[in-house]
Amino acid sequence: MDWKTFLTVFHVIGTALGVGGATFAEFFYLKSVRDGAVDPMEDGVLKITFYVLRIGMIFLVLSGFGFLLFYRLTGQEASLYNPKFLAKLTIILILFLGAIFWQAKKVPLWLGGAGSLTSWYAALILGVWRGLEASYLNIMLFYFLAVLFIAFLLGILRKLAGIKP
Amino acid sequence: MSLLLRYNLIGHVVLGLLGVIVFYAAWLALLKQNFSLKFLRFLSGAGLTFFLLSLLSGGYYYVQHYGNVVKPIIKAGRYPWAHSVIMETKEHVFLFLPFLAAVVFLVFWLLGERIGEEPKLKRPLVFLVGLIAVLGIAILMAGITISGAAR
Repeated sequence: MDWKTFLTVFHVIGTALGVGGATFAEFFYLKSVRDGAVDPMEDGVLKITFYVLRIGMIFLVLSGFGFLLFYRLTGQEASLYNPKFLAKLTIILILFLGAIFWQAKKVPLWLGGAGSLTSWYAALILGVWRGLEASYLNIMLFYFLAVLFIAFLLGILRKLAGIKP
Repeated sequence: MSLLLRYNLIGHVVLGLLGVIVFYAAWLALLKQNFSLKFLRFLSGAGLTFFLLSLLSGGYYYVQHYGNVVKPIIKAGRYPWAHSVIMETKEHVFLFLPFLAAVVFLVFWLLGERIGEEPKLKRPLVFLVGLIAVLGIAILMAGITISGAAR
């Protein structure tokens, strides 16, 4: 297995764990708070889901920087100024900072879940969309609109499930 | 680039990245109500070690290769500011990190038991650990910018 394949496999596993973790975290959370309280069993499931999500994030970051080194050492430095790559990097940074604000309880519930979910899916989509020709600003604008849209959708889901904001 | 210099560059990036990840994890852990002092002591020791090794590895690469080969390429290319602004800033700001990390390491080891009881000690410590993580992330971004300009 060459280095690029190894890094790609590692990167895909990280993304899969992150996207899966973020999706299940949101669903488990919605299901857990439906009755107004999170019982110890539900708390345990949520903790494991967040743990998997963090492992995914570590895999993603390590393999991402592996790609940086790969491009630098194989003369493909121009890839590092690709708008898609820079947008993905910004979104991962938002994920990192979001986790800190979430932990410090400085993020409202409606924004935290939507931000995490949208960021993980955005990273996945940017990673697999090979022929995407868009500027950095366009990608980021679309991303922020997507966060608001997902927050709106999750709000409707919460209302339908009878969860108080 | 010789094999030794390649390993230097890889070591510089990977060790620096691990240092940032470790301090980011310490920041998250410290924000919790019930944190494990043992875990924080381990993280601060590991982070300090990673930063020192990254500094040594990067320093050797800078002196032996970057200044003579990469810097002229960047300055003659489309993004000369990647050296004159970003690299100049990076190499000075990076010097802070091992010292800040050493302060955090000493606080966890010498005053660790008091952190949970004294908010006056915990609050600035959260700020300091957060500052290390944020500066570390900024330096990682600077590294990507400089690498991208070396063509």
